Amino acid sequence: MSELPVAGCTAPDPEPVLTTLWRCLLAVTPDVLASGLDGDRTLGELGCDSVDRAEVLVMVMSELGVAVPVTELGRDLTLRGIVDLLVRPR
Amino acid sequence: MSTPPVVVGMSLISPFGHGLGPFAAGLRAGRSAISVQPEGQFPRYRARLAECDLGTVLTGAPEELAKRSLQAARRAQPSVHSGIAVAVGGWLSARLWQRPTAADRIGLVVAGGDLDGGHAQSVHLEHAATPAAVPPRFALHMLTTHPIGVISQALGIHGCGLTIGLATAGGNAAVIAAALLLAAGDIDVCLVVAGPCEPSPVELAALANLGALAWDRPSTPFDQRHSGFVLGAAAACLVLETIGSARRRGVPATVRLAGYGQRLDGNSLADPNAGGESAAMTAALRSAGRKPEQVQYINAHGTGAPAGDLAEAAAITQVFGRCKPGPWVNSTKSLIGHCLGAAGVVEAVATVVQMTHGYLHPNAGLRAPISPRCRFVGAAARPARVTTALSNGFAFGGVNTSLVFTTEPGGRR
Repeated sequence: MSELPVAGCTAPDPEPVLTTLWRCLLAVTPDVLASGLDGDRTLGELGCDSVDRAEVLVMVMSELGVAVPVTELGRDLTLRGIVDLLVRPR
Repeated sequence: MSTPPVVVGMSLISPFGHGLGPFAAGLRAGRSAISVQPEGQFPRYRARLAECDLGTVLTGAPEELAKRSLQAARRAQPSVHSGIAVAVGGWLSARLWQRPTAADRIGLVVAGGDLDGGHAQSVHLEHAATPAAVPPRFALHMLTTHPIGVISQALGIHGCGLTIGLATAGGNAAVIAAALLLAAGDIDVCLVVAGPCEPSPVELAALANLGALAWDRPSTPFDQRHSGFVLGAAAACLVLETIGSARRRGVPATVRLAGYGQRLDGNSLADPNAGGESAAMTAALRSAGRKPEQVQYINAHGTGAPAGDLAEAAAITQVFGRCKPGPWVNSTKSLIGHCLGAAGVVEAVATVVQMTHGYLHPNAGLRAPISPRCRFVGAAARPARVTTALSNGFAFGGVNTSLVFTTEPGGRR
């Protein structure tokens, strides 16, 4: 299994990360479009169930080339909370 | 069998198209759905399932049912979409939408938990390329609970659920399991659902190397030129109900699952055994309270694999050899190929369709039968009034199953 970069090595800018997260969210649950991008809402509030959440998070980590321990992302965080985790230096 | 259930609904997607109409017409016409595949594809001959866009299939279904089905199907792989489509079709056909019964009195048995490695292999390739990108939904797809979960969510089923493997005998075994659940009194209605099996290239290569799969030329069941089975694909749903429940709901029934038999050869190999097959047929007839001379028709397992065809012809002769003139025999696989784990349910539907439509479909391509003692249907469909029929399903590992269907006295056609 190949090693993935650890989150925070390059400290990505939060705004593009939020955009990427939103794009992944739309890919997994297109219905969320009606809700509009709201960084203060959780994935659950935006209509994601437990598997949707995992799908979105795996997709966004893959796109960004970062790896965050799944346990940290397992909680129903707001979009900005997820972005903070993805860009947090480690 | 003490309280044989009745068939109250059916649905199917086959290479002939969606629904029972195209299937019945294709069978009657003896139109082979088996075609040569483009150069480089393996196997070269196969029958492919009609396209299944669930949104299109559900057009015309009650809005709430369609919405629930699409929601449940959202993350499912394509083979499960076909399963949902036929389950909804069976549900409507059995009038469970218009005349519902308690959700916890409805069960679900899914046939074919194996021989469906195509999807898994595609994910394995994805994993090899990018380990971190494997979709989490595969954690659901890889389990036999997945079709049960998706279909029960779509239809609101809350009774018991089972998935039956047993390879190519799995369809018949699923019907038997449903009959057992109904007889035990746990449920009043049971959907038996089989989705299309898509074996992986590795699985197909192993079957070809074993000599079971006709991979380089077409093969006709029970013909002296048979060379193995041709891969087919279909999804089917058979809805069984206790007669008391069907009467309470006011649902008409034309055919009864009068009996079944299952016998093991005690053999782990891919060696068909006429003794085990005849024992399963005899047990099924005994369970149905029927004698061999009362059987007018056998829907044979008839794959086109030489050893299997010879064993089944011998088994039929053992059980029915003294009957004059003996039952007619055909193989639905001669028209749509071998549907593997779904075959038993598909062929149960084919049997009921022929019984209710009053004909027997041809054995496509059969020119030189391997046995003069079996009465094979010829190149054209023939009219027939069938009141008792058998449908056989056998599998590697010495698994032999047979179902008995009888017309329901006074049943409307």
